[in-house]
Amino acid sequence: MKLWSSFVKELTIASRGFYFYVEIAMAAILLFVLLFVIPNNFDNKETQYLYLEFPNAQSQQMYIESFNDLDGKGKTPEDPFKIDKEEINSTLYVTEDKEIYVFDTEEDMAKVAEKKHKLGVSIKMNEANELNYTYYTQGNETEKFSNILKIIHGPDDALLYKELEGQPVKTISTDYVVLSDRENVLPVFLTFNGSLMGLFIMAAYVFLDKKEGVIKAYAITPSPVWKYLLSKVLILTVTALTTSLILILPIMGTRINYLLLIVFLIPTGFFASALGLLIASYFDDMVKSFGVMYLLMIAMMMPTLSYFIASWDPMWLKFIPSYYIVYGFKEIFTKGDTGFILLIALGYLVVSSILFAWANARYKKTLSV
Amino acid sequence: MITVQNLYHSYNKDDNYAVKDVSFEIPKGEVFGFLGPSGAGKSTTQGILTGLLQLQKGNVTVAGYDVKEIKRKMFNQIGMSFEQSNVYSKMTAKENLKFYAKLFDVPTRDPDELLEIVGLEGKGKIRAGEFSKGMKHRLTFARSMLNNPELWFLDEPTTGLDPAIASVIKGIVKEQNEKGVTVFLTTHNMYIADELCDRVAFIIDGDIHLIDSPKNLKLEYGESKVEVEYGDNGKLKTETFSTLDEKDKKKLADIIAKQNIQTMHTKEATLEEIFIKVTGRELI
Repeated sequence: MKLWSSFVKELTIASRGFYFYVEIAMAAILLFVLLFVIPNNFDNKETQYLYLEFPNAQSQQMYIESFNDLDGKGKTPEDPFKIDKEEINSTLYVTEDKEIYVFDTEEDMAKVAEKKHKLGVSIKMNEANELNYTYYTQGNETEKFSNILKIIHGPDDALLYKELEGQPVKTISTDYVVLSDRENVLPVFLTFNGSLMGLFIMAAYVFLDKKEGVIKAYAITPSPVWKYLLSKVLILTVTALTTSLILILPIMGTRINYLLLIVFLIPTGFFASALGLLIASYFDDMVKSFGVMYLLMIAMMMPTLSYFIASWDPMWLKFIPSYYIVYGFKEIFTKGDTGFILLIALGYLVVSSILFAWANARYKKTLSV
Repeated sequence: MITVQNLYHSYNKDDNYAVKDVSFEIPKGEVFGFLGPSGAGKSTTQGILTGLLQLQKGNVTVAGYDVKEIKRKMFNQIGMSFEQSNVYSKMTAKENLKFYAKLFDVPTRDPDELLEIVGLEGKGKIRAGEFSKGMKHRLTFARSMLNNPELWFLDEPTTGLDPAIASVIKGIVKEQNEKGVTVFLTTHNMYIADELCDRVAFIIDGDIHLIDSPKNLKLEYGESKVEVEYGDNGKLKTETFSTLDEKDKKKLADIIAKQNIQTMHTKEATLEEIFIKVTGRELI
């Protein structure tokens, strides 16, 4: 009953305060970004800048047709290239996965490639109908890439393609759900919104109470301090659930297991709020805690880099708690391993309980007069 | 109701004590004044008695409970009015009282009745954040009465209040005390202490210098004299008479009988004067 009264009180205060609406507004902004800024799938068409020099127009046309252009005809780009206010002529060929610009002169191609920081290629056919390639690189390419360019048109390229086709590749998981680019960003936004914002907002709530001195008044009642703290955790959990659903429902619709999602959201939200409680117990106000808060939030955002750069996944990153939050969300969205998700949820529940007990001990000791 | 024996407290847990070797007892039904300037150790002692500060050294029992291991149910018997108003500014006055009422395990008083007692009738639906400093203070004071406390801690209960409201607050304290409520009053206002307290303790630098009733202190430290201002043949005269000397007593009676008395004051010492005399310090 006392916990319920405290929870209702927190709900009343939150609904009349600033921070509750900050969280809702932040969720709305993130949703706007997801829906209107981030495309469902990023346009990943490859752009090529070419200069072609063939002995006759017929052979050049044959080569161009090998691009698999949709209509076989080039067009003048809508937005022509300009170097030093001088318009550079080119012809654009659009295929399913490429945009190929063919320039009138090798010099023009090299200039545009340099300005646009793209790879340029000069392809010349000799009288023996052999193709000679000259690549214009930027200088910042890796040695591996440069080496590939050197061998790809070598005398044994037929062998190379044969080897590629003959190499067996087996996919382990056949029921893995592939997320669109927009859906793929969602776990990062959820980690930021539900978890890290929770940490910040919890600290803000506690500092407000410290400023008003109401914690002391609560301490002079038969209700234990942990109920006061837990009521705050509950309100933050409700907020995290609300804001997360604001983001998830329009993007994922009914394609995910919401029960599993809620089972995951509660302990991860609990973790962030318990951490916020603990940090707030060491400081008098938000300004004094800002340094620690800032560092912690930066550290907690580090795993999202690994999320986007799959090849960067050092061991130390796995010790940052938000690592498992990001990947946990992804597992839920890709209908991954339920056991793994529940294990993460259980882990957060245990760690959060320890943090909460620690915070409770701190508040009992630091109720200064 | 309260027993304190050899109480020590250091914020840095070293030998720099905020309270040192403090001992006193407060029987049930007494109004006990804890008087001293800022930083004397009043709030520290009160913090330990109310469980806000952990007991480090000494023995303390409050309302029959050992403060070393505080039981939450002890707070059903305790009320505390803080010097700094501490109410939820985003909640109305009535919501504040209703919320705190739900935290007690004993029957609580009607919030409307309490608001009326402290002169906040009709203000129940206004958010505390919109209250003036004095109104917030009264709300904090009203909250401390919610659970009908047997032991009532009052920290500067009339600070910042206008004289009329301060008088109402003093009246409430007297009324509650008449009902048997024990009051632990922390203040640096000697007039309030003089008016309300059965006994007072003077505390300076964490040390209690003296504990006695205001009446005894006045007898011990005051002068037994009366100052009379009277008209004598059209002239205003001022004379001081001893209330112990027979000759002076006779002369005083004669003046009262024959002259036109303008003013007459006993020359007893104020608590403030006694405090300065005993501790050598002023109440700032």
